[in-house]
Amino acid sequence: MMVGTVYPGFDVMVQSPHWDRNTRHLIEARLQPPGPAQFFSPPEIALLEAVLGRLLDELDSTLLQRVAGQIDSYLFNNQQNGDHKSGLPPTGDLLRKGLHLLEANAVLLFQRPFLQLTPLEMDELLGKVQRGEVNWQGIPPGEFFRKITGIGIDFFFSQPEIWSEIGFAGPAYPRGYYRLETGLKDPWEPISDPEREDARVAAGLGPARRLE
Amino acid sequence: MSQSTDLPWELLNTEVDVIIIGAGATGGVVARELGTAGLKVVLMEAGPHWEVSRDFVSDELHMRKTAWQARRLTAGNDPPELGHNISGFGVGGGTLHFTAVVPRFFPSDFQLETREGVGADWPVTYEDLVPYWQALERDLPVAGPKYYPWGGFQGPYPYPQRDPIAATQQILHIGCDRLGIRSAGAPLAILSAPYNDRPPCTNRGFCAQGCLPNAKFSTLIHHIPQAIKAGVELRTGCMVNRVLCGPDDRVEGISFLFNGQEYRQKARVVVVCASAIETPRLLLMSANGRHPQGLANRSGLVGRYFMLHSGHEVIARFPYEVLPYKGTPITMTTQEFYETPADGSRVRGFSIHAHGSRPLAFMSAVFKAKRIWGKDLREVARDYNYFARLTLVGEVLPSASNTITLSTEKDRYGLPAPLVTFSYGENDKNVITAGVRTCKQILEAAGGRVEFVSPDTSHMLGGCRMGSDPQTSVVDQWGRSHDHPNLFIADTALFVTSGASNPTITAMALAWRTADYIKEEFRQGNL
Repeated sequence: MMVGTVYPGFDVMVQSPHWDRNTRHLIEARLQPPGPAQFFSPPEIALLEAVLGRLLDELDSTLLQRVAGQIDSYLFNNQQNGDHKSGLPPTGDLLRKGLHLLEANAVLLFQRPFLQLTPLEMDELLGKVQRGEVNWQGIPPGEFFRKITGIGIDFFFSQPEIWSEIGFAGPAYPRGYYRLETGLKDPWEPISDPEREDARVAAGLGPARRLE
Repeated sequence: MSQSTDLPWELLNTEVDVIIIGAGATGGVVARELGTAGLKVVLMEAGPHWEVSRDFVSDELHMRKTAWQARRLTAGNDPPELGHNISGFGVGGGTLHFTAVVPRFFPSDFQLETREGVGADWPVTYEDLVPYWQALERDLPVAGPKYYPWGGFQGPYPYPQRDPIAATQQILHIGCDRLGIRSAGAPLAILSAPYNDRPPCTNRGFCAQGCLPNAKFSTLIHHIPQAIKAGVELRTGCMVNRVLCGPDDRVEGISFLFNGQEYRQKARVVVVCASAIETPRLLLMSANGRHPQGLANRSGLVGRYFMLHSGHEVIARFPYEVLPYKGTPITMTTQEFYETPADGSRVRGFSIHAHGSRPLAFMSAVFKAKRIWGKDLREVARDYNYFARLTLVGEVLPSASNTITLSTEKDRYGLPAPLVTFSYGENDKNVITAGVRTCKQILEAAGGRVEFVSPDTSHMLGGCRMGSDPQTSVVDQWGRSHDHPNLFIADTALFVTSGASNPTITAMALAWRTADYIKEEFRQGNL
């Protein structure tokens, strides 16, 4: 059974007039459609979107395009933390190379480009990459998998609609939070729907069952 | 060497009294102390001069710009992540985004060899640092409990403990109480009441991104403005690439890169406050014909005995909304397991902090713990608000094989990228095992179900350790190089052991003590 957010109707952007101007502008810009890719080629960016869709279990292509576009401009502007394991290429090169090898594996394994695989086939291939069950020259597949998932997490969970979904009440300057203790909420924090909480518990998710 | 006249630095063509390299936690203290003493001081910083209201936002992703971004390579059995969690960039350095947890080191930390037969003793004692800790606790200032149950200082702290505490922090308190473990409010360089023009904390939760109301201390808003007011010349965007050394082994100044051009600055004294990676790296890059191993390196120990704290995260699901984004990220702690236990199962120990989390920190830890993705990952995200996290600060014993060296790759400045080689030793792993087990017990006692244990590290330390013997250490008890009488180190690079406390206030105390020594040496005409 599919159980979604326990915060239906919560939209963190409704609170954005209460945020400081710089934060508001930054987050509003994150909602804009991306410009043309500058670091990745068009086929690479399409591949990146498809991979992110599987890694993050997201179907909304507009959202995925934004996430991929923001990753592209981050790599293009060379903003990443510069640390990496000795013997590995810098992040951008690692991702680009890995995407090409992934595409080659799709053809090898399924005789079709990655974009034409079914979701199950995509997941099967990504699982092989994660477990290192593909024969790649030059870069370790597991390192590619960790890096692309890590970056995907960073940019995906920085999107305000995802904050709304998970119930992150968001930036709070200059207002702050004042009702902090267990069971207390400030008036603008999300209210969970008890029926949806119960549905999540029934599906083995949601709040832990009380032991006492 | 080009020296055009429109450069923004007044003191470029003069010999100044002191150059300080690095405008972070310790460089700020040294600059204020030497500047207000009337010395002519230049403070060098590779990164920008941030302005809080212009440059800081409430966003995890964007604020990673305050981490060091130039290339660094890692190796060893446990190659660490060196990003935002460990490094700083720009004026303020790591204090921009530290959690502001400022317990003192314990008295026992300074005598590990004598007391435990491991590591080495420091050339300073707990008592030597007491006046500096006291001064800093008033200066920052520090808010903490009336009674603090561990270590050499039982309080009271100058500012009252923060109140109220968030649900995620109550969990540590409740879990510990049920197990009979003492817990307390962590001493924090975050205001619980107004101080000068700074307001108390608003519980916004973005300490690790950079404080907007200026309730949290950083050297960007505190020591460095005071230093500038005293006449210190701050130079930003300047990457120091070499400490220059004369034939008499006295250092003569530095060379540095600004917009791709190299410049020189003469000084009577150089103080390196560039971090446990950049300080040894700079000394190694400063090798010359007379010192082919690098400056201050007659012992061969520059870059050796590099340490991190183990920083494993233990995350548990609760039956109610914890809302882990609210409030100061770390407010409650237990240091009950800091020292060697009676059963001999390990040497030294750990602290445990309750640790709130914003979405990126949480999701990254979840992925690192179990490498889940797709639907599994997304469903955990939808339960974000039910999770609480405890974080370990585990002691790591010094090992000569954990090192900072120069790699053959170049960073964005065209300089050899540092290679950080790090592996945990057997005892370090025993500390982690015990620490993680204790975190689990606390979370379970509080009613949680532990689901994720994510390996992590924090706090870079060592690499230029202090000591009395020039054969086995790089600098003396004042941070002065054994090899160069006017070269000092005043940052966490000189730590001999790691302790299991967040190191900032102890590093600042040592730096202030070095600044006092330099002042006195100038007064006596020795420098």
